[in-house]
Amino acid sequence: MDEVLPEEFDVILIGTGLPESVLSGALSRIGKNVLHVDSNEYYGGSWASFNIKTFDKLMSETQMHQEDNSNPVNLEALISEDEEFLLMSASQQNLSNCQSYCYLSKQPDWVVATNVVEPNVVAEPDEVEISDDKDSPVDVATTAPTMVQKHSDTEDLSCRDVDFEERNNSDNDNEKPGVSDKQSGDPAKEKSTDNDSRNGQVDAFNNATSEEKLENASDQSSQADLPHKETPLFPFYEKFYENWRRFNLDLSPKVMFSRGQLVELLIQSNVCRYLEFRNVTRTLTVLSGENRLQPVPCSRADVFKSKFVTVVEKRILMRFLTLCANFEQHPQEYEAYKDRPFQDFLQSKHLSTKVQHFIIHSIAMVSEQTSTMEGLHATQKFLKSLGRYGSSHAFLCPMYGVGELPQAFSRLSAVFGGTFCLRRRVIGIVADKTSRAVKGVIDSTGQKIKCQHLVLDESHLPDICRSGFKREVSRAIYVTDKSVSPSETEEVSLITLPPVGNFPLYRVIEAGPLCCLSPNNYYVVHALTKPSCVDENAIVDLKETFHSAEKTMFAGTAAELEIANNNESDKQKPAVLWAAYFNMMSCGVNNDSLPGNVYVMSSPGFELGFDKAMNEARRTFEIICPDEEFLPRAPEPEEIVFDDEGYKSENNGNSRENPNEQPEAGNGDYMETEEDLQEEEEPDVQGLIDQEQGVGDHVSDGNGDNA
Amino acid sequence: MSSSGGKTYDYLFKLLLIGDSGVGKTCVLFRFSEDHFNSTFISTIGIDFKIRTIDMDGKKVKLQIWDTAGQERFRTITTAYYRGAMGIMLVYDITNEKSFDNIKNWIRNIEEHASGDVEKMILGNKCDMTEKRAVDKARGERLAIEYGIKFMETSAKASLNVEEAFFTMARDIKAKMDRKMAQAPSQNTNQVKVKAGDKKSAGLFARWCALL
Repeated sequence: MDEVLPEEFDVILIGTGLPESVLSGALSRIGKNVLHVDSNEYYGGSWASFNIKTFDKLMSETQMHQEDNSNPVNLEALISEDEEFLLMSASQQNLSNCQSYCYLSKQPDWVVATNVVEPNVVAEPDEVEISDDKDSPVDVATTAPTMVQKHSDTEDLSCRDVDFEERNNSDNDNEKPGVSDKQSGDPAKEKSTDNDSRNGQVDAFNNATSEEKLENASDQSSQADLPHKETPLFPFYEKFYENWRRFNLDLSPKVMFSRGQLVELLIQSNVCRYLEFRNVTRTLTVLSGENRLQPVPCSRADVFKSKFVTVVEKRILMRFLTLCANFEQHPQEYEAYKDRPFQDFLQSKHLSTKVQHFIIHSIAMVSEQTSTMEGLHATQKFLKSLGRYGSSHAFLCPMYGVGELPQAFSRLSAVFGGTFCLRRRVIGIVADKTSRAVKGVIDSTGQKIKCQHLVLDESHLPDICRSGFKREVSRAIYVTDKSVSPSETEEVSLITLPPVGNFPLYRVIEAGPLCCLSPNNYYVVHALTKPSCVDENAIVDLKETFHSAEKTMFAGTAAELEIANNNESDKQKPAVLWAAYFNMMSCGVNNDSLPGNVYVMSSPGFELGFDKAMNEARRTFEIICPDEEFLPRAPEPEEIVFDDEGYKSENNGNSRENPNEQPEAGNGDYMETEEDLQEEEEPDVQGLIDQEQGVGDHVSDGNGDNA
Repeated sequence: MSSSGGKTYDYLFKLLLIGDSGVGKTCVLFRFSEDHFNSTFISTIGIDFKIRTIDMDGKKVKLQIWDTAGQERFRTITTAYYRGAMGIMLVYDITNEKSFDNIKNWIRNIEEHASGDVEKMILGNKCDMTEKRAVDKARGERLAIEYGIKFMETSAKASLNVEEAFFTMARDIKAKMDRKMAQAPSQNTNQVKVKAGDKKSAGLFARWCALL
């Protein structure tokens, strides 16, 4: 890195995660001179999203120590008598126990050689492990593939072909021509090639590596005429990775409450113009004792339509949710339960077990032990968000993944003059010996850069300011071949799997091509849980940690399903084609050793939404700039007028109302305001029953939102 | 594309400018959008994108042209910058050899992060500065041929070819889009656009669907 940075800034930020980026944007916006650096070559830190190849690489590399190939820095020359130097850790371990697996078979060589994609061949369903983790408890022997021999009729095969072709055509971006183009060649010839390859594979399987075996297969391609074999159930490994760019896999998947702080901030600051969103279209859960995902009725419309609750339950649920929406106005309703568990309160309201489950796990998203007040607040928060961007939706998720969010705020910062530099490692902090205030930083090129304030993400803390690492969130990511609960239109799902037996609670987000998280016909399933053991050195088997969630949601891995052909019972469930497991780490901050003008931003954590990160950014901004406005609206380009000297002036607010006058404050689906009543009739119970019998989409929202 | 209230255009294209610092991207942008030239933009503070609506075959084509916001300086363009881009202008400075050599790196960057079918074009800017020329026009042409994309030498200062470059790109994107529409009419997507509300719809369902 040869570029030299300017020597002095008002604020230096290290790490481009969400809270740092929000802060960076806010500071630049009001004219602070900001330097924002990251040692990674990507934006977002623990908040980043990656394509699948990069993700595999990340999983295999995080255990390795970052090579520091820059020249050693002569600190003595840079640090004066009255200064002290706080060394930063060379490696930032925000991920641990990383493993990723692809469960798809490699395409046999001869297929490529003859330029014929012939999925009618059973190749070895080898599990490709992309992992460097020595501790990873993966027993290769137990997952080793076995030979698959299946027979089926030709018609079935051709069906498969069409399916593959469609997949191919619809993913027209970034396609490599040639390799995947199926030639409409002589069917007889294809057939024989097919059969031969199988023959070759069988021979080779006992004594050769897969590559040798595949060579054998093509060598023998003019041999005997055996009956053909069944198509593989899944795409080949190569086919899968062809669209590697079109995956956007989050390290820290989250959803935005439609009325959460992040959404308000995006609107207020105009950063929303850099982003696009999708609604989370449904909430699913599993009731205790069952093994099936069920939709949770959230909005009034959902409650009308739900087949899982009886009319009486609907009535009680509706009344309860309406109470929660404005619970502060009815203190008599919950006074007696204030300090008791939320569940007791729910019981007192005569809610059935099933409805209690819905409220605790999927609406309030709390635990049984949560206090009544906390439960009420959580329920209200959910209800407030409901209906803002779709009658029965309470959450949004950013298209292309959570990693877009820090980038959007980074762009705001850059547009207002912030200097960005990735792949730049800060080796330590320079502080004044007497005042203990930070004076600047030294980067790995040996440059000393001064600043008045320093903002760090947790993983960039100097060693002496740390107090131990712990596992904060255990993560699994799956790429599947269909939704965990297929429906007619593509859904974006938020799923809560409550704790069962020894298994913990899992929070799951499933999305796919609609959110641009995956190519067509694939889905991305993010699962999060709290680690069974937070000690960073304890041995964990993350596959075991997620076993119960996997059993509930998936039929199995593609490799397993190729072997166990006729598993009728699980046909509805998706197969896992690719998976990754890791722990997100967090470290404690030793505040005593931290200089006063250093601000530490937390890791993403287990929180479903973004409020914590937003609060942190806002609070820090208020300390650094006590009298300034936090993220005032950035003008539209049309509003910037240039005069002859190229000077710009903000011609502010002539075309729009002041965004601070948000006319839409605080009315969710259950919030009773006048406008509400105009737009949607108050559902009395009789109406509710009528609606249910007449079926009906009476709450059609006119925007094609459910189309 | 469904109704959107006061829509004043038939097409909306998102275009990007990319290339090394100091090659004149912002000047090209201002020449095209404001017909204005100023050599003293030190950096690109406050400029996100500029808009100009042009007439093409009787249709109104709105071009939303995004600037790098100076993030190219340390090669720190966000991957988000490339989202939804339909055309990318790769700009180098004919008086700066390195900026020309870097076009290949920028193309690699585009291939990784932009949509596979994005329209690309190479611009050799500052072609009025003949006495300082370091890159022959023929080299620019050869590079463009190598990548199978179009090439022009431009001067934002002298107002040479800037208009032509954007019109050429717009025409190519429009043709591509018309072909696609003919094959598969666009499906209305349900993207949610989060923005400051207009009062009318601010009641219960404050919600917008993006049209493009």
